Amino acid sequence: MPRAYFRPRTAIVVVAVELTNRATGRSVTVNMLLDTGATYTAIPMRVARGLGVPVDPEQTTPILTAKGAFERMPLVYLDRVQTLGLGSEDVEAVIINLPAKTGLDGLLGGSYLRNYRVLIDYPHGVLEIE
Amino acid sequence: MKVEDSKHQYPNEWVLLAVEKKDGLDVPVEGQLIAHGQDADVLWDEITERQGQFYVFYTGEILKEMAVIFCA
Repeated sequence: MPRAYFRPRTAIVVVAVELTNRATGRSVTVNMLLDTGATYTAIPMRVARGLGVPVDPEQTTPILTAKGAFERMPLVYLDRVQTLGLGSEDVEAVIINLPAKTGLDGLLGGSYLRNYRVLIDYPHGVLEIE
Repeated sequence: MKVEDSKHQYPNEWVLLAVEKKDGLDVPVEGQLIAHGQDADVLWDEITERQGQFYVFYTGEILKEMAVIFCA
């Protein structure tokens, strides 16, 4: 089973995720926060622009934000999302405002994770996906 | 340039590499340095004119002194 390690007992799990846009011939690996509470995978606009993923302002989905309000956010499809060697095709992702000062370039959420069995061992700092 | 070396050479910066070598889980470990700096948007602009495999990462502590709740 593919396995990654993180600092034991830390509350956040960050994984390297490869995003691919076949139309532009571009794959970019970024650091994403593993977010089992998120319905969708999410990327900031800078990543969508860099990958060359078209963003249609008319194609949006309502998202409950951490502020407790619903906001409509652009919905895109990523040709391929891969982490720990496990790839999924045509993964839905929303475009969110994720400041660069977080050091993150996205959230790896349910639109990818729902395809896998995910084990997070916080005390030992181990992530397994199969 | 090795990814680990870039973390020491460019502390608390964003780094963009063209991937040359990956580990067994397909995580980049080595690449050609394309750009580095404090402004992530500048690095992403560099990618828009290129094809290939790239690695964009921040060399500092992620979510330093922040607590987060994300919903998406």
